[in-house]
This record gives sequence, C-alpha cells and structure tokens, in this order.
Amino acid sequence: LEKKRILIIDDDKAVLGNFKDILELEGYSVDTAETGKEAIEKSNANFYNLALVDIRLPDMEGTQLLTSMRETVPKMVKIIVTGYPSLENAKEAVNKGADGYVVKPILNIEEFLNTVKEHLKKQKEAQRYSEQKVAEYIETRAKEQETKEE
Amino acid sequence: LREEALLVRDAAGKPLEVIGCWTDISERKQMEEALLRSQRLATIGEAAAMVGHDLRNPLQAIITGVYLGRKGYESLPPEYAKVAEEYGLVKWLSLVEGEIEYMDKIVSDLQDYAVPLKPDLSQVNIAQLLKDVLSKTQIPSNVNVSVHVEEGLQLMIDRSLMKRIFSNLITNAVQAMPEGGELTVDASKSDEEALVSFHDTGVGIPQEDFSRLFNPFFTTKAKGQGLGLAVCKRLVEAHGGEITVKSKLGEGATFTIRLPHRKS
Repeated sequence: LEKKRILIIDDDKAVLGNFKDILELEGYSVDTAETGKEAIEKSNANFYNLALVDIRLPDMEGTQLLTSMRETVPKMVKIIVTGYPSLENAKEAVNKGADGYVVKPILNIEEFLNTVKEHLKKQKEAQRYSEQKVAEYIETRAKEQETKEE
Repeated sequence: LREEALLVRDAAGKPLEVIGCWTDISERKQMEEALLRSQRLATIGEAAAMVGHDLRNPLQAIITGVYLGRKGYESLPPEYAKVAEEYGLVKWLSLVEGEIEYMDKIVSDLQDYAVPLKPDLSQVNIAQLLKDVLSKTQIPSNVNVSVHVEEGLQLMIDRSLMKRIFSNLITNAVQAMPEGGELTVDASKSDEEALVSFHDTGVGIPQEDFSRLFNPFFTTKAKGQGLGLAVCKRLVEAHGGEITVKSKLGEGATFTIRLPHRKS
C-alpha cells in the first residue's frame, strides 16, 4: 500500500522535527517546509494528501498560504495549526479553505493523530465516490451510444 | 487639597490683600490613579499575551518530545524496558507529562487575560457544562462535590469561556481544602439574572486580601501565577456580569457569578 503523504509547514525546527517523527511512526511519508514560499514550491512539485499549516509564518500568514494552496492544490486536506485560538481566526481559516483547525500546543497527540486519520479517510471516500461517478457516467454514455448504433 | 494664593497690589505696587483658594481634588486624584492603574494593567496584559504565545512553540516541542520518548520506551524489548523503568525513565516521563498540563494552563491563563474578548453566545445547558468540567478536574477523594442546578437551566453564554471560569473556580475551591471538605455548586435564574455560586468549606480568605483578590498576579498559593481569578473576572465581565466573593478566615469561601438574564 502506498504511504499517505503529509507536508508540515512551521518555522519552529523543534516542532517540525518532532511532528515529522511522530507522523512517520504512524506510517506516513512526511515532508517539511519552514516558510510559505517553500511550502508553495513543494506542494506544486509534489503530491501531498494533507498539509498542516501554522497560522504565523515568517514570510506570510498561514491563511494567505491557504488561499494560494486552495487554487493550486484544491484536493489536498489543509489543517491550520494556531497558537492564537479565537472564533475570528477559525472563521477566517475555514473561509480561506481550511478543512480543519487545531490549537497549539496540541496536548493530546493521540487525538490529533485520529483527526489526521479521519481527514485522510474522508478524502479517500470522496475520491472513491468521484471515481465511481466517473465510471457510472462513462458506462451510461457507452450504453447510450450502443442504443443509438442499434 | 490644592492651594492657590493671589497677592493683590495697588497702583504703587504695595500689597493690599491676599486671595486664597483651596480646592478639593480628591476625585481628580482618584481618577488619575485609576487611569495609571488601567494603563499599567494594559501593559501587563500585552506582556502576558506575548509570553503566553511565545511559550506555545517550546511547549509543543516538549509535548511531542515526551510523546516520542514514551513511544520509544513502549517499543523497547522487555529486558531494556525493565532497565529503563528501574532507572526511573517512566516515572520522569509521567512527571513531565503532569507538568506539561500545568504549563498549558499557565499559557491559557496568560492569553485569556490578555486577548480581546468577544463572547460567542449560545444557549448552554448549565448542568451538562458543570458535569463536563467536573469530569476533567482532579477531585481528591476527601472532597465531596454536590451540584444543585435548577431543572433544565440554559443560559446564553460563551460555552468555552464559561468552561474556563467554572474550571478555575472549582480548582481554586479544591485547592482551598487540603484537608478535604465540601464543594457545593448552585445555579439558578430569575427574570433579571442568573446566579452560579461555588461554595467551599476550605481555609477561607482573610479580609485584607479581598480588594486584591481579582487583581492579576495576586496569589497566596506557593505554586500559582495569580491569574485564575483575574481571568474569571475578565471573562464574567465580558458576559456583562460580575463576580463577587464572601468569605471568613477558616470558614470557607463562596464565589458567586451574576449574569444578566438574556432570553436569546
């Protein structure tokens, strides 16, 4: 089975390194970025199933990065990580394309891993559903074509 | 008193009379002091927010580091795990995990004290909220808790802010009863207001501390930042309510939250 790919974007090296180790222990393939620019470059060059985006980055706001990634990689699950928990923050993150919102420091790591797992499960289901729809569409069109030819 | 004097002279410059004026400026002085105090508190608030936020990243690195340490320990072959346990590794990990929760509370208090508050009001079932908070608070076996909530009591409040208020007041009450005792929580409402009170049978609060009790960084605990009650006051006031205390040394204390009764 192919490993799910995760991109972590945070400017704190210790946080970045530890989350990479934790997610790799769970069997994910993990890449990291310390700036918004690096995150955009990496997400354009590689496929990631999910991104963990810190809300404050040295070169841009995490929400700005969300807007840009929503356009280029719309199917990637984006979870915003913030040390500034507020309703406004959450609303802004969701409006700019975040699929999830977690507050730093994340105390319960198991719960966090379950959140990641749930999002990836939903993504897989959505993908399966759209593949099924495409298959059904092709089948219907093929049948219509056959009927016409008869 | 402010004194002013005016010497009146004739055309030749000879002093004729002195006009004196004494003004009571107590009110102005009080206002100036209040302004200075609020400016000082605002500065403290800004510093608190900065410290609170700056601690989040190192705290996250510690939490994840400890998690990885525990995972590493759990994956050790049994003979190595035994040695690690003998050397106290597991005990230290548990110790750090416990302290992390305490540090997280400090960080949350610092930020709660400092960030601008905009309560997100919704109908909240008070009995359920108290149940949630009590289930997450460590209550020693020698402390009995009784909760009396008016049946079906729902209030228009910010659920997460009120949760922090309840949590701080319950933790304080428990800490005030080191020898054990009774914690009684009552909640009811009338047409004008809702009341939630927390009564403990603990050590009580000396009269001289009353005026400073809700000030930030005032504490009598050996291990405390003195933000718990300051945060409570701020969060209650953000709801348009007030928090008061009644206590006698050695006879416990009652903290009462009054909230305006909003219908919807």
